Amino acid sequence: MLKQFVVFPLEDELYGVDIHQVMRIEKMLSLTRVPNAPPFVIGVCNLRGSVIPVIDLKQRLALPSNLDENAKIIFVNVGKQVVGMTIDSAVDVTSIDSDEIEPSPSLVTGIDSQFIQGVAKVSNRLLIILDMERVLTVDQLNVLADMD
Amino acid sequence: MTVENIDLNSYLPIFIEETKDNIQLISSNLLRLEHNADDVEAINEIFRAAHTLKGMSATMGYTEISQLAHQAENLLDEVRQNNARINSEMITGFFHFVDEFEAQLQSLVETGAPRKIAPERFQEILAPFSPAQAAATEIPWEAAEEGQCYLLEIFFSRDCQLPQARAMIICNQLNSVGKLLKTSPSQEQLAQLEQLDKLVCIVSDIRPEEVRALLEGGVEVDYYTIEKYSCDEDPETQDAQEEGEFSQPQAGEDSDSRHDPLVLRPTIRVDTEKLDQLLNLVSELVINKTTLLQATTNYPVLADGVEHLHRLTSELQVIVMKMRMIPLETVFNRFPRMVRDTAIALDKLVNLEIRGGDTELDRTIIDDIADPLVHLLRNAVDHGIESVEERLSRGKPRTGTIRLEAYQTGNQVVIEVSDDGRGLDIEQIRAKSRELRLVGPDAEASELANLIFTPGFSTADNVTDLSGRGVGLDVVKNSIEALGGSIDVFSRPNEGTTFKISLPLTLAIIQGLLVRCSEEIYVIPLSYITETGIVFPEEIQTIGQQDIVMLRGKVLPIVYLRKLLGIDSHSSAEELNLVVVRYGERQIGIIVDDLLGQQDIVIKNVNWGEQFFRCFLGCSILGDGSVVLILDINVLLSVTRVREVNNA
Repeated sequence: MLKQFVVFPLEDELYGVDIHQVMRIEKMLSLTRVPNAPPFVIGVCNLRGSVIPVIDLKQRLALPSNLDENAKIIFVNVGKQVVGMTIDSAVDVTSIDSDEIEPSPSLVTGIDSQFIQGVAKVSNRLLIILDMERVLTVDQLNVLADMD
Repeated sequence: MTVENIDLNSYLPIFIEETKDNIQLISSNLLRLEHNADDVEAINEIFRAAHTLKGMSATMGYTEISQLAHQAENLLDEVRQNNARINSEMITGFFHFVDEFEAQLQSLVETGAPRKIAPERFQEILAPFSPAQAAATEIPWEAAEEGQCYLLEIFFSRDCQLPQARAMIICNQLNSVGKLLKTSPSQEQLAQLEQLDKLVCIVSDIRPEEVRALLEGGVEVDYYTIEKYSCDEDPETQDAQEEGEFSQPQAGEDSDSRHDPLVLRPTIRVDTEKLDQLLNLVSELVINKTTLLQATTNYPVLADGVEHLHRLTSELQVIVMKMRMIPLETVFNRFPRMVRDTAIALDKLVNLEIRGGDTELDRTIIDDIADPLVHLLRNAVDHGIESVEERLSRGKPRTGTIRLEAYQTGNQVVIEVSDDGRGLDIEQIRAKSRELRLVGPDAEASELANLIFTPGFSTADNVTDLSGRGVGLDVVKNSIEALGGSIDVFSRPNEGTTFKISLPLTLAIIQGLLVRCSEEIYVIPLSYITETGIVFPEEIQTIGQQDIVMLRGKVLPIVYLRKLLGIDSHSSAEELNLVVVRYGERQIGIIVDDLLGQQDIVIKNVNWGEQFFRCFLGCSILGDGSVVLILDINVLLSVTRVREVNNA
């Protein structure tokens, strides 16, 4: 069965998010800082009348963060929660046969494996498919540690 | 059931509204049954609705309605017990019930009393049910059945010889099996008549089968009709009927007391979700209006139009907010009866005083406040108020008083439940709390009193039906906190206990002061603010490690918003803007960079990462489309821990 993914590069790797979870992709919007929140929560923005929190995906994945003017925000909808995530740049949509997705990443990747739903080869590059629910679930203990 | 002391008329509108709901519920579930006769849940729903109807109408003293509901309940029970399938005739029958309920309601609205149900009307309602089922319901009018009258119309065939003689024979025969009350033409006239084609009789104490046997034996009767007839002994009523008028339903015994038809303004029910959508749209409009106001300041031509828009949106906003607000009365109204019943069950004398029922609250809050209040009131009757003997021995009036009072302060609504009973037994609580290792031995009374909100904490000696099961006050506290409110308890031995509930007025639009802090803009809800002013840096003194200023001779601790919000740099301004806020019982000054003015703030919540926003009540969108955060002063200051400074 073919599944579609929104694919974007972060650092040296390609990452993918299930297209059903992606609401929209916007150019960088003006953000309002949220004081006392952990660093990966970079602010809130006004998305057509709704206030949506935005996280720095690279920081969330513990990758070095460097947002520039090419950055975009990808708004994902998990459950009933809508969150914006900053990504570096160009975005593509790719279809992958679900058989080609390896469930558990045996390969070494740059990020914590709990965020990874699976990996697949796309034109000789490794695509890391993100488990959005995990990415957006914030462990209370971690948060408190971050805040102190 | 006696219902003295309670003015039931004030409950009439509620009764009518709720009865409408129940009737609607029955109808819709009947329709469900029509599609699927095996829908057990639908039967149960109808049963519940009928049961509620029975109870409520009995309470109101409307025996006609409660008996009717009772019948419906019985019939349904019959179906449930025998696992019988509901057929379409039975559904029709139940719809007859619905019709009658509606007619009763109509009568209530118009005359203030239910209408009498004539036995034949009842028969009509029961007709679709099989005799066995109908028999299962004991008919409350069995006595009336004895005097059941029938209207008999007998048409003689053209070739009947001497129909008048035939008519007289019929009259005699009828008299032998029952009681012939009246004939038209009268029996005297019959003898003198030359021709007759129709005889009308009213008979009672007769069984229709007997009449049939009697009439069908004779060949000369062309055809006849027999139907039940209401033969009210009241001559007036009969006169009215003879004149072809409908008899007016009599308002029970006090028929001479004139009832003004109840003025029920037409209402419609609206899905609260739609109201929320409307509120969202209005919120957008408010934001847009602000954008326009700012954009058009340089165009005087547009000023009038924009000003008008401003007024309209404000009005719209007020109306939408009001649509969501309902008076606490809607909840309070049920309590007198509940308190009374509880008191009777416990053999106590209790008087419930209600004040401030017209205080309005957001619908969403009202919906969830009833249960906690029921709990507190029951507790008050059960544990607070003493028995009559105990009260007398303590020199208190025989009748205990429970006060339920609501009032608005700022953007909070306070509901107090207080009793003049024995008060909390602080020593017992102390003992219990030691047992549970909750507090140290030197805990203060107020600290101990608030332990009653701890889960599993109950000091009731005997577990009654009503309260004291050890679950409860913690649930009460949780549900109130879930509404953004708080609850406190105050108690004095032998004087009574007061529970004080504070609730937010509404959850959607507030008045806020926009303040600037570095390059950022924040909102402080106006409800927190007592005043604003300017201080000069040299006025700031330090006591211990706490910065203070003197405000009208009093010490005011101050905090810096920049610090609270993690902005490191200091403002180098020559004048500092001071916002004085209430923080619990104290006042605290917050130093901000600039005051930008006050405006309507539409609260928007983020639906992810609440834990990151705990210092904020929510967000809002300004006229220029930017997002601002609304400061939750209580949380913000509690995180910072402002040092206590003696006012000495």
